[in-house]
Amino acid sequence: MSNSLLAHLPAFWVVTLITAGLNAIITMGLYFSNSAGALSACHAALAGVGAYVAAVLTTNFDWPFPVALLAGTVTGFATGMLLALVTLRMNELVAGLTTLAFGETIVIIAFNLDYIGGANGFIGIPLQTTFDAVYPLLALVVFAAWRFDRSRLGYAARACRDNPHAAAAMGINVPRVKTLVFALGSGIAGLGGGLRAHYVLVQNPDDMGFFFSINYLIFWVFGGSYTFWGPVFGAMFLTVLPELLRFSLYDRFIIYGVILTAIVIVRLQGVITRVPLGRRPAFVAWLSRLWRRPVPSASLGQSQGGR
Amino acid sequence: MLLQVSGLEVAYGPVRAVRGVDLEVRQGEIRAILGANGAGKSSIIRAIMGLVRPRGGTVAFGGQALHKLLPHKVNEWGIAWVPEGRQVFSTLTVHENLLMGAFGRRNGQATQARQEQIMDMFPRLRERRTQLAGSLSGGEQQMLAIGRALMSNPRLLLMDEPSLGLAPKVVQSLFDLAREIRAGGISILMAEQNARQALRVADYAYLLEVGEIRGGGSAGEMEASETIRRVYLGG
Amino acid sequence: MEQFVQQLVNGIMAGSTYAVVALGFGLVFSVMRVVNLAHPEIFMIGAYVAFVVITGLKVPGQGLGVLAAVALFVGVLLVAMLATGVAGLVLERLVIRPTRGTYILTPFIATAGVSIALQNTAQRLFGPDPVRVPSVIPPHTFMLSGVRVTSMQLTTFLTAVAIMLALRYYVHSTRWGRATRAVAEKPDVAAACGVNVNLVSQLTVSIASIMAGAAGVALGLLYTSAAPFMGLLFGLKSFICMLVAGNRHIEAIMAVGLLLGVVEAMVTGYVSSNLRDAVAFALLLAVLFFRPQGLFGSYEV
Repeated sequence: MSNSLLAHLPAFWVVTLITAGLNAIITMGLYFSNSAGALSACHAALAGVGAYVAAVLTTNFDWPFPVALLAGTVTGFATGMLLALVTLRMNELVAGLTTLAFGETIVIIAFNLDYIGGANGFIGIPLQTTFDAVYPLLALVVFAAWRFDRSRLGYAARACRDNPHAAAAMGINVPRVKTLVFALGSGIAGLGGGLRAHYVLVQNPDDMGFFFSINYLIFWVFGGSYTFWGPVFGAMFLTVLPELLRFSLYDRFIIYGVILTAIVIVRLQGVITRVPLGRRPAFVAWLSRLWRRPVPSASLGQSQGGR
Repeated sequence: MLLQVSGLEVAYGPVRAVRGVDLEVRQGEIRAILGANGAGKSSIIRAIMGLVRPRGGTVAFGGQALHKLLPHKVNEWGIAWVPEGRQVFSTLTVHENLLMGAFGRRNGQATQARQEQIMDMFPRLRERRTQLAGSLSGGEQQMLAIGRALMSNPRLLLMDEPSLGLAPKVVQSLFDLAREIRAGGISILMAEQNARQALRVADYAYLLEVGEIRGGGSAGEMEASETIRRVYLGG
Repeated sequence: MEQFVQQLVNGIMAGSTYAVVALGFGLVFSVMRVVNLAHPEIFMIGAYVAFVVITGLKVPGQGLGVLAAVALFVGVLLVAMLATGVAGLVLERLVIRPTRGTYILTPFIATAGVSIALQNTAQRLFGPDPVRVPSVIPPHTFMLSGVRVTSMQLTTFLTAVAIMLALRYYVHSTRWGRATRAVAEKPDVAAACGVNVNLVSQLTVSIASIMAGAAGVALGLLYTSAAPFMGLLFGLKSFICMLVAGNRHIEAIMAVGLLLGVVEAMVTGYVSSNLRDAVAFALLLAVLFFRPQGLFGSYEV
């Protein structure tokens, strides 16, 4: 590790920070995927697809790490695109559930594919991911999200999320936007998955399951799904939190569960968010003054049709 | 004074739908709130019913302050709601819909008697007693919605756009029905876009524009006014 | 042919528990538009309560007369149902009520937090490995025209059927059941008719939790084990049953639960037991692709 600051931290914290960074990258994928109103409940599976591809390429075919990562990203992108096309005509809830089923199906396929290790997982992955790989890439992804927010695609996606009919009436090609955005997010997931595989050195079918997908969703919503840095905050906070609660193994998760529930109840829109109705909590308003003027949401009303 | 609304403010986020509205309904009256789509009529009705918490102002009913109460309590005090767009319980039968109307009243026998009364008023409902409410026509559903509201023996009936989506002949009989209800001692506050029909039966009408009351007067006064005629009654 | 009927019967027995838990999910979802992720953990609580009560009473595993066994079973059931009913009440008041009506993911995550806390509490209290739940029903295998049915299977099935019938009666023929249906369809209108929606909310979650608790007891005794994560896979499959059935008729959820049990049994018997868990997801994909509103329709879509 070239960063001398890191050398002072106990190894344990380095691990936690890298894990947090990896989770942040994957969760940023969700930011893109869900920006047009979809709900990706198979995100861990998409990350896993990218992970398996990258891992097989480096381990079995000696591809250089960056190229393998790219391949994993592209695979994630393609898989996401496929899934988006399949769920295009479904209503929100059903589409979300289909992604759920899709994810589980991927897990089961992976369980049964002996070439990639089957139930025992794919092992022997070379350690390629370091702190210096993760955080610059995370910064890149966050930068991309920031640009996305202000881009035409970003506006179009938010319009599709808030009111697909109005968006279509404005001339936005809703299917194309939804598919593209979902694929982008899935590609980022594939990137994160590939990075993770080359850090943990094992890729299991289990890691792609519903439980982990839910985790990423929790990171995404908890941090505030409306801002581009919300998911990063959510992922990092919720990755580090259990480590901070260094009681016994079970107690810490009990407390984690309680804290998660409590925070969600107390702060219904997620911890850091830009309330899309134009009235921002004071803390967020103060933070925003440090940046330039934030991007307004595409509509006045609250999305998801809530009363 | 049966119903007294003062300084009502209803807002959804930053959007102020109702701004400082004062209105009242006396015993045995039909009063109408007239206004275009989006003027805020429904919001007033919903606020009175307790479905949305007003940001300011008060609602008093027979002296009792209602604006802090939940809808089922408002219903207990004697106000019933005929929602916009009928809103019958489509997966319940006609009979069950009527029973729901009397949910707050626990007396089984009185409910039974009341149901018979309502079905006398609406023979078509009696015919379709065991049918699912979703299978009724628009006009029948409106009858059911009104019948359901009447089941609780309210003192005040809130009607939200009763004529919406109904054929002209049905609309006629609907407003005749309103007269009958008033004759039975029940007051009505209705929000209506169809000013012409509303003024036929209302004793008094308010003009609502963009959340504010712009004027009001007895039906006669309203019909006589030039501006009203031009803007709302089409000349 | 014999094997077919045997698997069919096995499947129906197992499927009845899926149905009960799925009904609990379905009830809460259709009435409150909330996905209660802690529901499977309440199921798990039921099983652990059975464990605690039975081992606490130091009940002998064998040698109980039929009447005594049934009485004991019913007693354990009632205790578990009481415990889970209270748990449901607390859950509703503290977690579900504040978060319902907002964005659909909010109660989802809040209940996810509760489920994580509950799973780990169970691990803390009872350890991560499954504990053995002594069965109080004397083991006996009935032979009904060539088909084998164990006494525990029968008990589970009868319990599930009793619960489902009770629920059906409640929903269709009682005042509050009617109010529950009304709230499921149009909560505002129901409220204006005099229905205390908060009360209906509490009732609904309690009933769902009681059902889950009973199912937990039945399953715990059937497989003579309780584990902290037993709710996960079982809950997921039950959830899928709810989705496949649509939320229009509770009979649909019952039917789909049984269907899932049967198809799983068939796949296990004739194809491969590895694929058993895949059945639910395959079913979900297949049905939702052609009928996105669920097999028997739903209010939305």
